[in-house]
Amino acid sequence: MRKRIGIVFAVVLAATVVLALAGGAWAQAGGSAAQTVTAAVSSAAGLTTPETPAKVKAAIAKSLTDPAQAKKTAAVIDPKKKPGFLGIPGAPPIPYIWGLLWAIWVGWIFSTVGAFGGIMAGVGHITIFGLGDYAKSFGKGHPVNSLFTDSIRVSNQWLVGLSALISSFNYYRLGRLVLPLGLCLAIGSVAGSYLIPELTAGKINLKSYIGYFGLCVLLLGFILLYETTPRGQRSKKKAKAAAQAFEKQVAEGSASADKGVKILEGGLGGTALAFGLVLLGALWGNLGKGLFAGAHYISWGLVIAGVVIGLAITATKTIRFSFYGVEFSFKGYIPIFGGILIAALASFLGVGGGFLFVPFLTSVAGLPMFLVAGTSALAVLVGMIISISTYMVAKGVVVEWGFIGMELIGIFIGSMIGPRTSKYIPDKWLKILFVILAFFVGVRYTMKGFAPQYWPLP
Amino acid sequence: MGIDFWLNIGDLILIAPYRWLANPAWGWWLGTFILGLWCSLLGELTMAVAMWLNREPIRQVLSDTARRHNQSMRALKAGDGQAYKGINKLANEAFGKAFFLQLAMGMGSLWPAFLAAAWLQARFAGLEIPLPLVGWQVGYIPGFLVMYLLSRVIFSRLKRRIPFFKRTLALARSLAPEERLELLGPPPKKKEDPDIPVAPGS
Repeated sequence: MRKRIGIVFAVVLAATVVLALAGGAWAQAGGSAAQTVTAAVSSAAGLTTPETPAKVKAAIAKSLTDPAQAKKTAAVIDPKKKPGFLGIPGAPPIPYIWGLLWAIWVGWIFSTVGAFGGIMAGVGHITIFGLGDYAKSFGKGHPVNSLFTDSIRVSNQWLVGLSALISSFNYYRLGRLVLPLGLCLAIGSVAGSYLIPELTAGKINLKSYIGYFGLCVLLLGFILLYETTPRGQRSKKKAKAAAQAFEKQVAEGSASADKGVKILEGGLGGTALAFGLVLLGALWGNLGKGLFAGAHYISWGLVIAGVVIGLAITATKTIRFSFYGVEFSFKGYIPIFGGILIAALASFLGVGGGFLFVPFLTSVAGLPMFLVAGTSALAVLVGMIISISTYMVAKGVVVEWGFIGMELIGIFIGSMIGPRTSKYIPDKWLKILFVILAFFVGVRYTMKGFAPQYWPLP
Repeated sequence: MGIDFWLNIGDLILIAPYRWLANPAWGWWLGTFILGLWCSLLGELTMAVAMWLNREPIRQVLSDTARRHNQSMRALKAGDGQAYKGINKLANEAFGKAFFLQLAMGMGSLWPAFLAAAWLQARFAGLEIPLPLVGWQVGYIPGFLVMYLLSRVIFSRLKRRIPFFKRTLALARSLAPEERLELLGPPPKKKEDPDIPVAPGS
């Protein structure tokens, strides 16, 4: 089993390397050609500098072809000012210090609460650093507005998606991966992570993104609120009582000799083929796009075919395996659907994904937490690679690397502080604090996104 | 001596290996590999410091997670579905805390790579670097990604021989003591007793 998992891991990493190299070459070549044309246009208007990335120049040049957008561009971009974020003259400077301080707050949340950190990272990118307001100044439908939105989405994804990379290595070493489950998750995860950037990159303006982000945060707020109510507390108290009662009944001692994962039913052939098609489609979408007219339809076709085959195979089949001498079974289409939904959410908003698989699989499929955690980490890793590379390689979205590096430092510092402060703050009060934050952020963003005329505050 | 002074010093140190070879393309790949090694070393140092400073909270969350999981498995083996569901839910909560704590600490191993990418962007943005022997040309990010992954793999082998990292690995093993190791690690290989005949095929 470990050998097979190792082979799958190696294939994924090899695909990553191929994707990165060839996709990077392709993007660079495309960028160079585009740069020649757009440099002429942008430079003539004097709106860019030599440091401005090609994709940003292309977006500015595109806006100049529309009279209304050109007016906005000329009003917002000041060529006399120093280049700021994404190399745009007059844009806010890269907020290294604020980014570090906010990331310390995010790291503190990560290590104290165990959730909500990604949302706070997103709030930083959207609101705290001033990037959102600058993007909105270009107006709805403006190419630079969309570029900023995509850059924010990918920056969120880098921060939260890195969890999959870190935890995948840990779980691979632990050897607690269920390959059929991983393949089913990966089919959905890759499909969702590829199709969302394909369908939405460059098309979502910041206002709409903020609205959807707010809705997601509001939903989380309601879930957190429920957990603080007596009814929500009741199920947790029952669980703790059951654990205590069980501990008294069953003698601690020798566990079953059979501790590994054994697949009892559910061949890998069909699901591996489905996964292969989905992965091939995503790779083609990043590498082969633009080779000839209609090339992107091949990638869509492969991805959709992979998902359909995966669903068809698993609709009638039950996957059974044993762990600790206990038998588990699940229908393969559950992790496929879950993979699509969760990966799509993570790819669209840049939050969630990494940890949502575990509660989904333990609640819906009834699988033990420890197995699910390891298996889903690998699926999320594959999805994250596809999503980020689709945004950055196929769509050419730009990010500020140094800024993300500072945020990682901040998250790390926050994670050092968190465990030392958590003993002084009861869990209940932390939850109440985050309920309040979730409702404030959720309502604010939802209103600003979909009904700004009714939001009286900044 | 402001921050620009130190940034210039850093730039001089990082660019030096790129100029060691006469062929600029080979020089770029060598320099980037060495940059990857610097990132791996700084990242692993940061992680090691984090583990030493946070060893008790890590031990606590890992213990809680493993304890709840053990309980849920015993409940299932005993046929108590209700207890299994409830305890599995508690295991989820414990897992969430362990997951995010380890994630945040893991960021400590990756921050140098992103700052390195920013330096590479300032130095090599817009350039196409030839792949030796193949004839393709790539941008700085894909090249750095490959060299960084390679240097991390090599460093992970080397660090087992470096005393400080050896002690850190020993600490990591001790954070999951005996009763949990059987859960957190791969199944142990059966020790063969020379006095007991081994059945064919086992």
